[in-house]
Amino acid sequence: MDHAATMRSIYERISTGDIAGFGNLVADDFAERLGGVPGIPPTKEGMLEFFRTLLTAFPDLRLDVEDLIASGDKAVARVKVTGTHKGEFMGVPPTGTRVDMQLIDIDRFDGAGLLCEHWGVADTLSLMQQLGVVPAGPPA
Amino acid sequence: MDAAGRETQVRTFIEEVWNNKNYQAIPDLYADEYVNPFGTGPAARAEPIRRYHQAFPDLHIDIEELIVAGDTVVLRVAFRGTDTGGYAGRAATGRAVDEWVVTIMHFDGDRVVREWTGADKLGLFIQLGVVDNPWPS
Repeated sequence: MDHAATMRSIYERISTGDIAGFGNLVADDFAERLGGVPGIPPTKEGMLEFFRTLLTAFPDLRLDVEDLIASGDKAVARVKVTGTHKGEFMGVPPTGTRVDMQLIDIDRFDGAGLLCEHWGVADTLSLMQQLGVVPAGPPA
Repeated sequence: MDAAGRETQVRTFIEEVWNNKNYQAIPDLYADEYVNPFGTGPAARAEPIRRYHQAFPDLHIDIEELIVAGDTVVLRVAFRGTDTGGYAGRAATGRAVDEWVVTIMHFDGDRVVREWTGADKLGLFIQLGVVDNPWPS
């Protein structure tokens, strides 16, 4: 099974706003292991709901794959995230800011080829600085 | 080099350089053409490690996951230490921190020539008390 292709397809579906299509690539017993957003349940429904909210906040959200590695039941991607902050995000009113963030995702796929576990690290410090929630520059 | 050899090489680097502070072992993993914001080669790789060791003298890294795929290694680790030296030029806070980091290393032959790292810097700064937790509670 080509997990790299599935992972690529996940980013494409999110980037076109197709959250239902994204959900079709996720196992019902999906578990978020690391890097989940505080307050979001670490489940399939929690994750899909988070992306629906994210697309409301950043309607032109794009996830561009810059590096993708697959081995066994895992695939790893380095992704550039861009979007314009046009709706409320995590309590922050829209700023109109164009944001740009790097993330690395590690995905595990089950026997049916569906995403079943995720570990991620995103540069949320930079994101929060771009949105003006955290002061820019090195934290003083 | 086979997958087992790459895994051993990366595990040895973490243990020797990060956990035992033996910087002489950096050239065993990093190529002369490796580049980061501090410069080129193993000496440039040493600089951010030295800064971490100054800030967190008791720093210990645990490898939580290591994936080898051809010329690439993905490493997921947990950094744990106490800020008794002062991180990023600030006064020491005395706080214990736990930072998770993912690195993608690309090899040419048996040395790393390029790598990308993602780290939970927001979480680190929240733990150090220098950034207010921005997430809604």
